[in-house]
Amino acid sequence: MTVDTLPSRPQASAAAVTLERLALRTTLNLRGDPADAGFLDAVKQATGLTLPTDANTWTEGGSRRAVWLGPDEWLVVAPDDTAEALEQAVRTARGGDPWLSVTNVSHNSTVFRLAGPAARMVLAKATPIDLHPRAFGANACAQTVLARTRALILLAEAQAPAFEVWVRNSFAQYTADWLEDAMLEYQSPP
Amino acid sequence: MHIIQCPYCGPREEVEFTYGGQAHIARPENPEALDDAQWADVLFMRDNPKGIFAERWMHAAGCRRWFNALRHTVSHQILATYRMGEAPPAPDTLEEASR
Amino acid sequence: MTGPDRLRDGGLIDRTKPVTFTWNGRVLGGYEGDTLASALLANGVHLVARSFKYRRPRGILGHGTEEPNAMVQTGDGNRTEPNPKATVVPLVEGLRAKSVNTAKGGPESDPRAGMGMLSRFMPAGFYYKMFHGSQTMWQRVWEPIIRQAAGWGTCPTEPDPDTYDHMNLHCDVLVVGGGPAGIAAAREAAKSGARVVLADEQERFGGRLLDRPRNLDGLPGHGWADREVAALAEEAEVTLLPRTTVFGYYDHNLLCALERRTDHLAEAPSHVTRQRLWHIRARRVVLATGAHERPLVFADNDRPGIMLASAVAAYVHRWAVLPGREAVVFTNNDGAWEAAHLLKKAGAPAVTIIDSRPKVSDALKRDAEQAGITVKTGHAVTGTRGGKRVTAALVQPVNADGTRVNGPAQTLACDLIATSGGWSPVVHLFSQSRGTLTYDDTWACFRPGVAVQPQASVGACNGTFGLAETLAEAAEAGVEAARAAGFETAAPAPAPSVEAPEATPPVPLWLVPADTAPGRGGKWFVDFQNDTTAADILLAVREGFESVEHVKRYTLAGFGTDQGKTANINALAILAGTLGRPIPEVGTTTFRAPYTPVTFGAMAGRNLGDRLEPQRLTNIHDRHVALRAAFEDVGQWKRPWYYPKAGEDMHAAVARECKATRDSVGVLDASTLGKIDIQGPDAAEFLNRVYTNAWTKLAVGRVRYGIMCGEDGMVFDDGTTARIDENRYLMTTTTGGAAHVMDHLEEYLQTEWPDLRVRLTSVTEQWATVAVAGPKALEVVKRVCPDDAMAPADFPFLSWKTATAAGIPARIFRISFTGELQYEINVPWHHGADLWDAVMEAGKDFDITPYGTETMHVLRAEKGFIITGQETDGTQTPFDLGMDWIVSKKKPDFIGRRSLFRPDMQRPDRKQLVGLKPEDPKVVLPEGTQIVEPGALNRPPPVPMLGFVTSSYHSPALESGFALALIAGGRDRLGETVEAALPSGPVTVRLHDPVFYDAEGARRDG
Repeated sequence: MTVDTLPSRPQASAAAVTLERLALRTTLNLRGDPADAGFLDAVKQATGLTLPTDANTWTEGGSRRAVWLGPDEWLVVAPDDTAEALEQAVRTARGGDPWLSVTNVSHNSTVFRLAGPAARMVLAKATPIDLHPRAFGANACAQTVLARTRALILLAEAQAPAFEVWVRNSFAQYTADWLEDAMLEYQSPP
Repeated sequence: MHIIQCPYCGPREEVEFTYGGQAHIARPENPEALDDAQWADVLFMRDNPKGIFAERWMHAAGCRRWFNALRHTVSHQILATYRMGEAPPAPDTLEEASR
Repeated sequence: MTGPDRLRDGGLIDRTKPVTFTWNGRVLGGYEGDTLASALLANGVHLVARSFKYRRPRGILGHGTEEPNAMVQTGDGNRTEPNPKATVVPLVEGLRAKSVNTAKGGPESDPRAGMGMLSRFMPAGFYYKMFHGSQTMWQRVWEPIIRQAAGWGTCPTEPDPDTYDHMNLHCDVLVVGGGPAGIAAAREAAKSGARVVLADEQERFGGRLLDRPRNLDGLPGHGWADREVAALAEEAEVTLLPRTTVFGYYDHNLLCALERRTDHLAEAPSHVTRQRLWHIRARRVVLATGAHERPLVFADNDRPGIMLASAVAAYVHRWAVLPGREAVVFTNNDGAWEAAHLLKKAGAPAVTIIDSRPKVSDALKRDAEQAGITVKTGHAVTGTRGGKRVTAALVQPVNADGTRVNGPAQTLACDLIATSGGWSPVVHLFSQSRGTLTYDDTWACFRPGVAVQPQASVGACNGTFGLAETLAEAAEAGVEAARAAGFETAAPAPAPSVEAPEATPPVPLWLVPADTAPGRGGKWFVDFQNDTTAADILLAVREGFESVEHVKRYTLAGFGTDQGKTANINALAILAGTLGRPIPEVGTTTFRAPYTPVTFGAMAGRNLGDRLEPQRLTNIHDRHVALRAAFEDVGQWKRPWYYPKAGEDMHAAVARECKATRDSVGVLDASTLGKIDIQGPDAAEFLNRVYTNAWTKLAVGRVRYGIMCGEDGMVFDDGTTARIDENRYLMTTTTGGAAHVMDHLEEYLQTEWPDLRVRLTSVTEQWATVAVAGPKALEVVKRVCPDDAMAPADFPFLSWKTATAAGIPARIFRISFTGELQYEINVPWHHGADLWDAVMEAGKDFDITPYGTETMHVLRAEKGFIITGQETDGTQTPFDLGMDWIVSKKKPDFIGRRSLFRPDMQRPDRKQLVGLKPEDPKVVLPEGTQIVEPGALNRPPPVPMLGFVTSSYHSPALESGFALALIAGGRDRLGETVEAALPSGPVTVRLHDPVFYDAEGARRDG
């Protein structure tokens, strides 16, 4: 049984799992029709990102990321730019299409990074989705239930592993408290 | 606790979904054309079969898409899910678990 | 030192690790590997309990979860636990345990032991007949007596210091039960690379292999189990869950299991939860849950020293305990003979086998006699003697079908009776999964019939009792489960060589005869835990009960913490025999989760205290805490309710906040309002359809108030919507209604109007909102936004603009829920606290006053503004609320229109929103107060009700109490007086326009 496999019991240590709150990043919610090649091209041109059309996956381009949220909905994360400039770039590339929906959600969520060999175990206490590497491997993401709230969970680094946990801001304290409590058994010395 | 196949996100736990009652009851094009009894029927009267039932679900904690499902009300087996606007699969294509 | 009845050698106990424990105040010894039950028996303790109803002395019947009698109380203080079974309590150093259901002094000297004498007055149904006759007698007399006399263990009175948690687990194959079948199935399934979980309730895997001498591949059973489990542990994708009871089988192969993580440790590490509740979702399930032996039902079959034959074998073989020296083995099957051999081999001087079958195989008989065991076939134990321990068995010849005695009784002195009536497959989980059971005539048991969920049952739980057959069946099932889960599989490995006695079926004997019928001269116990006897079942049938479910409830057979594991099949067979029907026709009662008791702590997991429910906090929350706000729960949000200063109560604080806002300036954290970004070329048309009023002409930069109805025409939410751009709007919803509104809008967009080109994004938490209200609001806002034109002349009511507030890019809305000049400043969420600080600083000169939801409620009620959910409860139309103006008469359709314009909705006697002003200004009516006609309370009931109070406060501005209410036909009666029905008597109130303050609206522009 390897430590990366649910539900093995990694040796408790300070490094078994860590939780940190990530700094704000420019984030846009993007809605459009993936069957419309012009839309995908415009986004690619404006952001450098190929929007993922496979469910529950994310793509990256440089420091930017596109995260699948639904059949016509993505998050575009671009820490290197401002929301206003990026929104304008997308709208311009799309030639002012009124049916394009771009919303600045940079402040809408709080993002935690949960990393370490025990991270899967900690998350498995809170979410019913299957986090095993076979089901939730590199570039996986899912919007789901986390404890008694909802979250976007994203496997940011497959090897470590490191997860991003996105929750609405008002749930940030609750989520941090819940996860920190769930982490205790892996952090305390045996 | 069911596993429900979201047509967009794949199989997920029932806690991620909300229930929307009977499927395929379209809001009338012109409600004013209906008399009170017909309107009451649209609003309130629903089937309650023992067997396969077409019903609506919404993937609330996921992609927030509404979709339809065929569920067997006795076995709770979900025989099919399909997107809004799609016709339900024909009964002879459904694979029912042995009973 | 570890007990007079401990054998000198043998057993799977660790003799290098002696353990000291306390039983009913006595210090005793055992070994690691013991259960409390095995350690007690090693110490010669058989009497461990008194029975529930008759207070009869009871001993240990079994050796696992099937145990009905030996419930104990463990631990002390806030860690005490009522009713675990001694047979599954691991013996740990310092364990403190005592009997339950006994008075001081323990089971040896129970002052209520005399209850047994009254037993003939307490048959089945006694409870219903006696105690449910008169409700008053029950409450005043019987219940207190019964509460005092009955019940088992006692609950701790202090909070549990231990922690519990939940864990989700997904696998391809879940194998339930770690005996030979489970191990074989898991081994084969794991070879494919499938994710396999093997769970067993015991600390040590092996199941019945641990209990009896068996050899596999030349290894003793436990050695083979250890080897195979060690191999499983090497597999990357295998999860072993020892000490884990799978207790529930739910839809779509969800199974729940309770893991006992620290109960087996003398010192539990503080950072590990005591128990874990696993939610296991499996593609395939293999049930290998084994079987429970059932006792024979004979007269006085419950005395301490009367045990299941399988338990006797296990105590000798696994725990090296000799539970009796003069033993009688009473059976209807070959399997129990093994117990006699084990007893004899362990040194019991006198062992007699009483077999009810007239004939057994020559080899069986020969082996027993060669071993020095006395054998009597065609005989039965028809009674027992003894008090705190059995002292003798009455043995009588019986006829071939076991229905009659046909000879005189002989008394056979003994201190142990091992009994076996055959085996019952543990079909609990299978049955919970809604699989149907089938009756196996050969083996006289119910076993799985047709499965409903993707699963297989293997081994004894499937009615396959031979060890070699079990291993073959289980290996096949393991391969098949992995294959069905989508893995490539090969044929099973060759089965291990097996040395074990051949399994042979019993000859059923459901009710052992005696010289007298059940109920006379002895008690034939069927359910030991509930003191249900065969006579009770016979009585139930005489009284007309036929359904097994009814008989269960009437006699209590099958209830309790053991859920009738040893009782159910005997009970229904006796019922069937009495009714003269075949057993399968009578059927079983429903098996329900949990298989064994689950602690409340485990069910709650970590969702306790602050984690019971999420608390949603705004970015400004810390500021409110620093201001010592009292908080109110609004949905999951924590909102400041009021901000008491030193010495202020709520009333004083709210009066001060109201006055400050009306006279100078107040500030409110309004971040919690729901916000939805609406984009698309059809957005205006969409708003037109979901709101009751018209939206197509709203200009960019303007804001409008709207009401949403359901299709039934009833108001369900309200709020303002601003036009941000040509194709873009920002909708606000109530704090509590945000998610509901979003779902409602999405539902219509996706299911009814997919042709509308509109998209919605929740931005509730993109923005933090600070509302500045009052005559000095402009002064404050000018200082916060020095570069933007804020005066009402430049920035009219019901409009919005972008601005820079405290250096932060902001959207400012001119809307007012207070009736005062009001600015709602929105900034990106994480700047909320900075904005708040800037506003507080800018307002210093005006004594700016933070106000909470209570003041907000008072101020808006003075203006007659509704709050959905307070003035509405899902049965009010906009007309009822006096808001005819907001319902478009021109739009051909909108949600709710068809219902709203039904004649019934226009009836003048519908309850309508009005104001109420008490004649006595000091009166503040409680919300919910009923309103009646003057004098109505002096007339005989029923009193017609006119309506009720929806909101009620004291108004500092009016210097009076005032209220909003829904009153039948109220709008035509303004100025009239009616009465509010208070508990202290009627109070006269006058109907008033709902707008109490600044009716002309002069204040909203400052």
